[in-house]
Amino acid sequence: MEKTKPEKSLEKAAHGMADTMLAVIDKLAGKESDIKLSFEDLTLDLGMFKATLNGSIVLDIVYSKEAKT
Amino acid sequence: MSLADILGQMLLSGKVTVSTNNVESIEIRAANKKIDVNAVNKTIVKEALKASRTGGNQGLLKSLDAVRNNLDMLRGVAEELSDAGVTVTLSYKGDLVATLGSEAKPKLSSVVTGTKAIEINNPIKLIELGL
Repeated sequence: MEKTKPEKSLEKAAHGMADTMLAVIDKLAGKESDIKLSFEDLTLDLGMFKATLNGSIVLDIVYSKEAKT
Repeated sequence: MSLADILGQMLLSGKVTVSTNNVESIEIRAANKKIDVNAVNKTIVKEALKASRTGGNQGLLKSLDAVRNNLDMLRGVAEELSDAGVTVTLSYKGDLVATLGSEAKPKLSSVVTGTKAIEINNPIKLIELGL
């Protein structure tokens, strides 16, 4: 099925965000860093229902060792 | 539906904080179709911006090309935000740096950006952030 123009632009934006996130994670890799996303009364309207998010997501980055030069 | 429409319609209110190694880097607050992105720690913002630009050390022409492409993308996003009635403000440590979207009221900066949807409120802080 052919994608509409807004769908394409959304997909492009999502790819851009993912690439940036990946690049930041890559920079932090091997430094035993973490990225924490904390949500405080984040209210989203998802069309069929509304959702409020509270809490946090932690990404622990320990998947590689930094090369020694 | 554009990304701006989604931001305006889906993100109703609240706050998201992005931290690295327990150090707060970015705070995002949303309310009434206004989204404030406040950089608290410029190091991670600079790293993210550097990472989003392709390649490492490039020639001057390629660097200028990258700046032009980033500005084109930013202009497109700002105009979509404006059409959707959404305002995104960029701040550094609580000081307003730039406004994108419907509440942007540019003076001279529209000559540089080529759009009325981007207002540069504090050029010095903008350079400090490396944008």
